[in-house]
Amino acid sequence: MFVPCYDLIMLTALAPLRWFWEGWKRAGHAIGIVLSFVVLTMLWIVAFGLYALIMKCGRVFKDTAPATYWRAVDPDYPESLLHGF
Amino acid sequence: MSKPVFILGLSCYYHDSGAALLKDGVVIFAAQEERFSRKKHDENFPKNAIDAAFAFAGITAQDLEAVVFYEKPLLKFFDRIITCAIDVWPRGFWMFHRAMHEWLNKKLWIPEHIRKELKFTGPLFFTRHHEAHAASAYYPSGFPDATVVTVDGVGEWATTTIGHGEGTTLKLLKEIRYPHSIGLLYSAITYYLGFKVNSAEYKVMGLAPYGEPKYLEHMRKLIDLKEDGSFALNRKYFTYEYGDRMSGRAMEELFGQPTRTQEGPLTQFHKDVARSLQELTNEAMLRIVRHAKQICPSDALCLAGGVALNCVTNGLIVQTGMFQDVFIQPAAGDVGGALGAALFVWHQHFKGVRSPKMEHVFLGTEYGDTEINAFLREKGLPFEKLEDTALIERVATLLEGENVIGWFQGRMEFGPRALGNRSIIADARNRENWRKVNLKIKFRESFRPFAPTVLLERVSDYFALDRESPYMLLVADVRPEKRQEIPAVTHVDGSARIQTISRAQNARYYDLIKAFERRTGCPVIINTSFNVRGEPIVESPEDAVNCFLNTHMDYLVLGNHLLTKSKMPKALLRESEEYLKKFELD
Repeated sequence: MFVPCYDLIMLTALAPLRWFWEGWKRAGHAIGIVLSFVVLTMLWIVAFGLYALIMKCGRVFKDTAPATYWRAVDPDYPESLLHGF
Repeated sequence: MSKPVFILGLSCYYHDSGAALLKDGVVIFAAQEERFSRKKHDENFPKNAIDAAFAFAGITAQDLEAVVFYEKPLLKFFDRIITCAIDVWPRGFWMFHRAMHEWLNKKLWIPEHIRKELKFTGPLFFTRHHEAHAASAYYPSGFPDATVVTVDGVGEWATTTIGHGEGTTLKLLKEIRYPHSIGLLYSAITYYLGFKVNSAEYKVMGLAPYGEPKYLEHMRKLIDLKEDGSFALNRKYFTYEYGDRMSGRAMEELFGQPTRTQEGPLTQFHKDVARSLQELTNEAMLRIVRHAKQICPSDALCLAGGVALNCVTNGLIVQTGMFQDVFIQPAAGDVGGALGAALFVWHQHFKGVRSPKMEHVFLGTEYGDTEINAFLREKGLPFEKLEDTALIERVATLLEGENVIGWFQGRMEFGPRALGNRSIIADARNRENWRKVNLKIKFRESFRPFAPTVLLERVSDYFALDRESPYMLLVADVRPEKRQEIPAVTHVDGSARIQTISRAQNARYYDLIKAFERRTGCPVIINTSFNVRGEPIVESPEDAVNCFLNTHMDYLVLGNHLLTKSKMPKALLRESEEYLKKFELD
């Protein structure tokens, strides 16, 4: 009985500060969007960029005209149906 | 008595989500989510479809032996999505951001999401996208062995596969990988022609007969098509790998015209491009199927994947006589993946006995006469209730001439076609009905043709077709001497997208057409889906009544209840424009 009553008291007492909590959540969401944009952009430029450049250099020496575009399907591994990969 | 094995197959989070429920390897329920949510091509978790499946079977999630998802999400993300982002770098910056948000927030957590939504703690399985397609075609085909071909936009990596089924075994052997895809090529041209991608490809197919293949040589620049059916797209003409659009400036320069805007004027140029695309698709598919026959010889062919909904190509494949028998999964698109995934796990993991042949697609929800009666009384709608025979005779009489009738019966169809239980029907002998149904009832483009339903035993009298086509998946020519008799279903090139009907498949619908034939001598009627443009096919009596009251439909038949438009209270009849606004144009 004590805990719900305590919660009720706290909720009532903190009710006037609800606007602050809502505002903080909105600000947190906005900060999250900006940060994820920055992090993903850095990932895209640095990690993906470096890897992409190496891949593109490697492709210069690749035969571009195969006789067929069919390729063998990768064989299933045991219990593959139980996994999402 | 041992406990039955229930397996739930799911497809969602891309487009056309749905659920299919197996009981001891037999499909007992299957439905698309869009029918319940009333959002066309709804991609969300198919909660409503699952609830309907459970209600039908009288089970809960705890009774399931397994849940199967129709793709391998981790393979798709870590392998294809990431690799492709690197491949197109430095282009695709915004697409990369969008994809990461989508995957990190939702799609990577698909297993957790499924468990949470279903409160399911049992085993969760994942098939490959094209394994699900292949299984959806092979297992319900009833063939002891078959060559299997799947062609669509893209799954994880594969866009086209060739496989072989024998007994309960199904193996995919060869594949073409993303970004090279017949489905995406078709979608890119659909986009270029100003139609909605993943939605309006069938309109391009319907537009093609109005044109000439003048741009076939231009089309050949888009694709390197080998004699063995393998192909690679010329990526400089396509932008779907890194952008929002399917094609861009290079495509416009190739064809010498800008991309058509949605709802913009349709000129002969657009019709010629559509025709050229159809010719190219036919050529590619015939080569793929021929190669498949060489490496996996069989007398039977099974087809699935979105491209298998191209009934013109399907008709040509049948005409070649390469295969004695052909089965095309009626829900060939992604929603059929739910069915295929469940069937694949039943046969491959549970080692179940072979599923029986799929004889029809009436696998969805059903509303009995008691429910319908209560609904109509509650809404205060006047109706006549008729006995079975009287109903058939009355509706057959009403069909003669220019009446357009909403026909709502039995269990809802699974897949994109209305095949006689959620249909709008009319007299195929009246050319005016084509215009009326297109413009006043469906509110769709005037060029679009209507499909005929014909009694199976009379199909060869009217069409150049010597076999059944129960799922409206084959196009064949209307016999020249019959074209004047059924102008409303004869397309501009003399062809028709045929649905044959037998009494075993749908007794009431068959009896109706039989009664119409007795009265008129004609065993053919117009059958189009019960909806307006952009609206999912109706699911419930309420959906049917809404569509009826808001369009120029003359009669509505709900089970044994007949509603007449002229007797409806004026207060309930609304302007169609208001109703149409509820649905996004497709």
